Amino acid sequence: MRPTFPSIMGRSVISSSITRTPSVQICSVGIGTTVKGVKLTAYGFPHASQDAEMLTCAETTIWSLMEYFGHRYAEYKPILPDQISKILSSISFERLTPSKGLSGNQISYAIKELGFGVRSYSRNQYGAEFEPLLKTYVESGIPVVVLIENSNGIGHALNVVGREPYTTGDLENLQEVTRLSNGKPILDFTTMPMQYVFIDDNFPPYMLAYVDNPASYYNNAQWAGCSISAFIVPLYPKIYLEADEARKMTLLLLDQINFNNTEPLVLKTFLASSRSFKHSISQNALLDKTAKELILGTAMPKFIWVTEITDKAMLANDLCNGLVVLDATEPRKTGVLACIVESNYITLNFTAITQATLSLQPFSMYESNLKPI
Amino acid sequence: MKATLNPYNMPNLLSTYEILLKQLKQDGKIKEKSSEESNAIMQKMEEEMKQFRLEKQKKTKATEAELSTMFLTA
Repeated sequence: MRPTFPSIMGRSVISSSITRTPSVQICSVGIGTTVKGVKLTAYGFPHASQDAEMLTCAETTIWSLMEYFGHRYAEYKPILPDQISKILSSISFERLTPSKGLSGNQISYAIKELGFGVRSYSRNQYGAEFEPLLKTYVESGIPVVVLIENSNGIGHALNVVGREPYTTGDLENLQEVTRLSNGKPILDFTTMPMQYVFIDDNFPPYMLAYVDNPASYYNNAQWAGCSISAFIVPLYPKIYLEADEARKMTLLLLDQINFNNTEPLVLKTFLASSRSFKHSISQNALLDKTAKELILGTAMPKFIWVTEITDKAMLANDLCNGLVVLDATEPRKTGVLACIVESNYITLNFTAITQATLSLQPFSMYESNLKPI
Repeated sequence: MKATLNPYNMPNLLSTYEILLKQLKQDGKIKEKSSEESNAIMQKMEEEMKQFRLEKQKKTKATEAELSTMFLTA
């Protein structure tokens, strides 16, 4: 192999604890290796530079995504770069090597063929909902492929894999996104101005940038003014309810409830596996015993959408006092599985809405999707 | 012989969840909306979601078209 510097070949998994961004919360996976026979595991997000011949940004983005999912879940397998070309050759009219990059649809197609239920969102179509949706998927612990562009002809693909922790200062910048029909203001967790963690094949892993200025760490004038035009989400194939639908359904549900709390509500929505969610509920020391038993006893599918209901004061201590749990595998019907709102447990048992009064204190929020490493 | 759902005469065991709900009901802590009232609420939500999904379909098609013209080469 000829020297390929500065487009270095090879792959890495570097713990963010030894980079300049030690406190970030990311989707991470443990990948084993040996050094002189000693078994070691590195926790982080897989990263590779592009060699600009076989791999450009588009292929490395797909590769690192599969490296992550393949090592983390039995349903997926890590891939070699040539598999991407093989998958795309069936829909290409020209040769794919040396790589000239890929279109957004080609990335989407390759990820779909690798076993995901892919969904894509463009800024032009989703407008004000675009960034909250992107952040909701990141909050769900899903590495998202973002496509950035500018008027200088730059088109680049990279992964967003996490965010920095929020501070009390960020809480003051929470913005109202809507009001319930009784006039109660709703603030959204995603409006906090946090920096997000990018895996960019032109830079070392874990670059930090705001979502509205994703190329801020580039010093090259050609990259000025880049913005995220679209993003692609690799979902588990049986997840039929999307983030925007889950957020909308939750608001429609909350509209039916008369809240006693006079503070504006802060909503944090994310996707979770019911196993992880129930485990976290079972370990939640602050949650009322009856509420815990009711949630643990509620039949849930493999994946659920959860919205935690809190306010600024509680959020500062990572606490919430309400939950809405939706069926993420339900494509049509209103899959409300359970709610805990203002000391009430509400569930729908096929024919009637049942409401049980409980004595609830604020309890710990779910933290298993993005982990500090 | 007629098929039966409980051929071994097993006792009808309630889950912890059902026992809890039963107990809360006995303590007067359960309110149940009538099925008409529940249906009205759910139907209203489903109507709004139906409209929301119709709008979304257009966005999905347009996004797909946009993605085909985006070239990621850098």
